Amino acid sequence: MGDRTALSLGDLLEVEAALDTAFAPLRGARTHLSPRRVRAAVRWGRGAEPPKPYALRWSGTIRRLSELSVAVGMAAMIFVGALGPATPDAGRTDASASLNPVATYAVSLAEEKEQRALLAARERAVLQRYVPLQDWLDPNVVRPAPVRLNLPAPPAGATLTHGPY
Amino acid sequence: MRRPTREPASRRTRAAAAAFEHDARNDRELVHAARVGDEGAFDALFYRYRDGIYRLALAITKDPQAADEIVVDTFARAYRALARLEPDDTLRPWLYRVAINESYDRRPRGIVPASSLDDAAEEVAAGEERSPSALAEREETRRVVLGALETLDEKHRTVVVLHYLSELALAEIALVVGVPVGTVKSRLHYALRRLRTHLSAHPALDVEPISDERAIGK
Repeated sequence: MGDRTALSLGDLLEVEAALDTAFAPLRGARTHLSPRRVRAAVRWGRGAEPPKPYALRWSGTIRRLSELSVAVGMAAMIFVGALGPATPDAGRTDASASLNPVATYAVSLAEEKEQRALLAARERAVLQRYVPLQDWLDPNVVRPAPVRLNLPAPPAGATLTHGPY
Repeated sequence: MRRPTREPASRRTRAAAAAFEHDARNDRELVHAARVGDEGAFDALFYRYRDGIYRLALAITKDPQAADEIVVDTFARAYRALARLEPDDTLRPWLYRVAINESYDRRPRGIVPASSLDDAAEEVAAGEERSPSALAEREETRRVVLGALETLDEKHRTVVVLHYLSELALAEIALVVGVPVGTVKSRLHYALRRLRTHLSAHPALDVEPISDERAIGK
């Protein structure tokens, strides 16, 4: 506490007077060196910048090389990505495929009709019937669960000439 | 046959120093002249700042021999750097920055006792006409203040020494230390407050605690 509050003028003057007293002998201190001593020191190699340590000299070069390799790698990736063929599932390896097999989803005629009906209904902005969830999911990603539709039973004697929707 | 009397070397050196100290050219002009081979210009710079750097180094290292070496090294660095030095008007911040770095490189680790400065203190005391008790009190103050300075860390001690011993303005200290003026002010305030607290802990000095601490104590 208290280190941020200002010193009063009296306190400040007391400290300054004490510092003045303490530094008085130093203020009178003098040296009798001459510039010839400096020139002699220069001739003997003093005053030179200390050489950089060996490790520091190489660290700059290594840093530059690593930056350059990262830049070249990124440029190559972008170039190849722009020119190469589009692959449907490029990140999928054989190993991961064996662990997580892609769910195959065969679309039956009835389902295709159902999807068309849904698209037509969406165009009319009227959702007429219940929509199974898996129809909106990507079968490559989500394994479809069997959906049981609780549709009302068709009236007796009715013939189903087209899809349920 | 009577031989011509020669002046002693020390007197000739003092005379040369006095002549160079009164060189009217500013540091920029002297640096430019020294760069083209004017040795007198470099000598003028040397005599202008020699003692200031010596005192600064002495205050930090408390070793007169080390302070001499620091003066030589500082000017040797300046001599080698003449080609790339571009001072505005004064070379002092650059020289003091080099001297401070050299001083802390040569300073022993930990708290350095001020006993090596006793010779200088005795010289000052001998030149004054004071009662023994006044001299003793003064010596005690000096010992306590220099001891308190040793408890400060490097950046706070440097600011105090530059302001109260080298008598640099805050803006010039900022150039030497390489921080904004506001930072110099806050460092100086912190250091003075710490010194004040340290001094008040010594009953022999008869310094009361800081005003707001007195108020808290009531």
